[in-house]
Amino acid sequence: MRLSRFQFLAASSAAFLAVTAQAATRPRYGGTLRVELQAQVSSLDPAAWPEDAASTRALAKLSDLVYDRLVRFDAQGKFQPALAIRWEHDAQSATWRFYLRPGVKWHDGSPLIAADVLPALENAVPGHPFRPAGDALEIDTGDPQLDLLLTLATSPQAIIRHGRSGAGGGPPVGTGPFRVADWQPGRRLVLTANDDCWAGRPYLDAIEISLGRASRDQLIDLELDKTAVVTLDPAEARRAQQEGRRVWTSAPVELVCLWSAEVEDPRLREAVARSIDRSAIQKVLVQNFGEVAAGILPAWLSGYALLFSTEPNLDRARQLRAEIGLPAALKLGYDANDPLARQVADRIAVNARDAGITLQPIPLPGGRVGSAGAELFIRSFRIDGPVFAAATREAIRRGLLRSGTRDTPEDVYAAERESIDNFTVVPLVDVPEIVGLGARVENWIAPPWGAWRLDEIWLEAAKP
Amino acid sequence: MRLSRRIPGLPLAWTFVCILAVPPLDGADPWKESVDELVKAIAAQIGSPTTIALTMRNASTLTESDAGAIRQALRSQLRSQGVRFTRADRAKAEVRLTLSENADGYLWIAEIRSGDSRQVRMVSIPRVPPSPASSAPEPLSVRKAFIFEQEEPILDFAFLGPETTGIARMVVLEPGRVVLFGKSGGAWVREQAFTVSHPRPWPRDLRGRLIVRPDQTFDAYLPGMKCTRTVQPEFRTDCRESEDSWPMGAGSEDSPTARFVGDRNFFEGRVALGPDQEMLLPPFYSAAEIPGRGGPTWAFAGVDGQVRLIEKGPEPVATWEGWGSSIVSLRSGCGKGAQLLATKPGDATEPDAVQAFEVSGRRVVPVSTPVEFPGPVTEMWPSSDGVAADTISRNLKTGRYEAFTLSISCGQ
Repeated sequence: MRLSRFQFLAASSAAFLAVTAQAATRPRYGGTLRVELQAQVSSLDPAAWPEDAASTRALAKLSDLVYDRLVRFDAQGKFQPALAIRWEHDAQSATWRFYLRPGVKWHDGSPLIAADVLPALENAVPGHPFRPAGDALEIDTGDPQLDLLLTLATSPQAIIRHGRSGAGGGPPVGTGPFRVADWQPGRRLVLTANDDCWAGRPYLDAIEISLGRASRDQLIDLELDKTAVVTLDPAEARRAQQEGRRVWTSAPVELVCLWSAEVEDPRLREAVARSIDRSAIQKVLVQNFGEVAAGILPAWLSGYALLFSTEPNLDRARQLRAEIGLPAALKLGYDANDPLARQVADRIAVNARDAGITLQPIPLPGGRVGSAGAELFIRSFRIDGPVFAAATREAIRRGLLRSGTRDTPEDVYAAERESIDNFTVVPLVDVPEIVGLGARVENWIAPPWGAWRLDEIWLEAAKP
Repeated sequence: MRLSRRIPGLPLAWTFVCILAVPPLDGADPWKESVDELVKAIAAQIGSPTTIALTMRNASTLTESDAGAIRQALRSQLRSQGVRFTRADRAKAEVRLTLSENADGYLWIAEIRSGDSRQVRMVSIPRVPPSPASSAPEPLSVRKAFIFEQEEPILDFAFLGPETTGIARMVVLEPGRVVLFGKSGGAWVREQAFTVSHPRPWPRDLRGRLIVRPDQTFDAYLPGMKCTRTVQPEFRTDCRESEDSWPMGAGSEDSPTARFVGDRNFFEGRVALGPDQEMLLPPFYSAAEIPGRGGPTWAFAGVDGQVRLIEKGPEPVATWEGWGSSIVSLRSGCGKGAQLLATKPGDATEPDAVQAFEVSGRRVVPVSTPVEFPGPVTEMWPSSDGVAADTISRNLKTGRYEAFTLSISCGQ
């Protein structure tokens, strides 16, 4: 139907006005944001690396609220000044100098000086401490440090100072957008706006974070408007979507994979790998969120994952099983605190049974590889940023890629091909981070890799 | 220049692409270097002269026409290296090319199979930056003219001395800096910059306003600060801590003023209409004066999301919701002589739009279709002559700040 000019004008005006009442483009100050997390974080010290992956992720999110780093990523993944306003290095990138932002205050009101920052950066480059150089920090490592900015922009290199009550007493003090007002380890964290934040006072007055809340309980709280930001498992996320609620998903940032390196017989590794129906895992267990994993690094980051095959081959699996001859019974370990890992383990066991292989899923505290009593493990590997080199480095550190791999796409592809072709790593599914949002949350600008920017959001005024 | 623009009407299907006579890539093409690099890598593996079977797929966001032109360029380059193309069963090697992409940009992958050997070569290509926002006028009542763009946030901009210089100079207010631009060869070129030292951190949603005078002097208002450019006894720009109220409307001498809250992003509700004449309203983000026979009417975009229409007293004669936080009035001479421009509701993650309205009695009537922006409108102030709105938007795709002037076109 062709609209007359008047009708068109009226229709466009209606569309213009038919938005949630009281919304406004300009940020609104005030209000308390209630957040719920599944993880039970027991320490606010970024250097106290938690046992399980979920707590590590949650700690990184909480750290970003309270602490700053010298350098940070922006939404495009570029390095931006944070506590360092600029930096320089020599031609070899072996000597670096970072100039501290003037006028920054710790949450207790004392000024930030170069000497304060040194302890937090002690292990940034092992064996090579930073040293103060006037208002700057300097490091001379003797070797090129091409990844230094990456190191400084990622956890645990947050600039903290331990509380006056001593290490292990009060929470560490930071310079970030929020101060710690109440901290009950594993249960509750209350943060209040830092009026003196160098980046400007955040819009929110306070954030109340409940820890250790199950996904199901979080969704109920969101439905009852008791909370505004929740972290959901795929099943609850699907339900929330069906109810018409706001659901934000990151890019697929967490690889769930099968780790088979402890199985000596390559035929058995291959047989298990060929029996797995990854598509069913993605469709059923992850509710069509994320994507089937082909490579170790996700496709959006590597660009070459499409070169790997993900199709099951049950005939080949059975053929290999027949060649092996001996009864094939293996224990498959998974993180006892990770419901998705348990479901994936169960599903793989069903697939393997079709190939004549018996897998017995067993829960392991922390799901650590090498835990006694298991030969196969469900592992997860999280991408913490948009930088290919950083992800490569982390994959090497986690043993998913051979050490010495250079961070060019060709070299990392070759290393992935090696791990995948010898079936020591079987990528299964790349899972996104899923967040449910209340109707009043505005300006949710989390970058695609899942870091949160709660200091940038604001709450729409409550309706009378 | 994007390849797709050079080859109008290029069909989508690969089969058609193959038989079209596509002009070779020249030095101005963004892909030439990458094509050369990939051809070199392939040639090093397959040797020459030789015969290959070449297949290709586009798994990236490149348009099919761009991908088609890249394929032609590759074939042409390989041919010049002594490579001939044939069917797979007759070829000495199979080359499968994939145009992919990752977080850094495009990734072109060549899988080369020859007998039992399988080699993979890759070339990384940064994404071609999107072309700048179009400055073409909208065929609508609100005319949008692109002025310039930059990485640094723009708080306000204004032209200096249009009467005498024909808008050859411009002042731009940035966080912590006042920058003077001159026009050279059709482009704005930075001439001078003055730092604004501020004792306290800026508010997160920093705002600022420039008020220019005909003699090329100006005042720059920032939260808790004011900078003044003088010409006598010399050209200089001085900044000082200041709680001076900011002018409302176009900023003429007799404009009402209101105090900006130093650590926030809004005005106090106390508005000085003139000497000894004050009005107390709820805090607001922006205000617009609408001239009328019985005296001006004012619209205030409140922090609470309400727009209030004020005539003589502080009690609103009309209120409504559903507008954004930036409103401006323009004297256009069209229609009722003046219109209100208003942004739409939303937050900093969404594209924005500006629409023109007229006040008729106590009703507000839309008089234009919305003009779209590729990101949120971060600021909109009336120009010093009151006939345009100096508007700044942050482009969500590029992250850059873009400055426009909006004006009303009659009879469109």
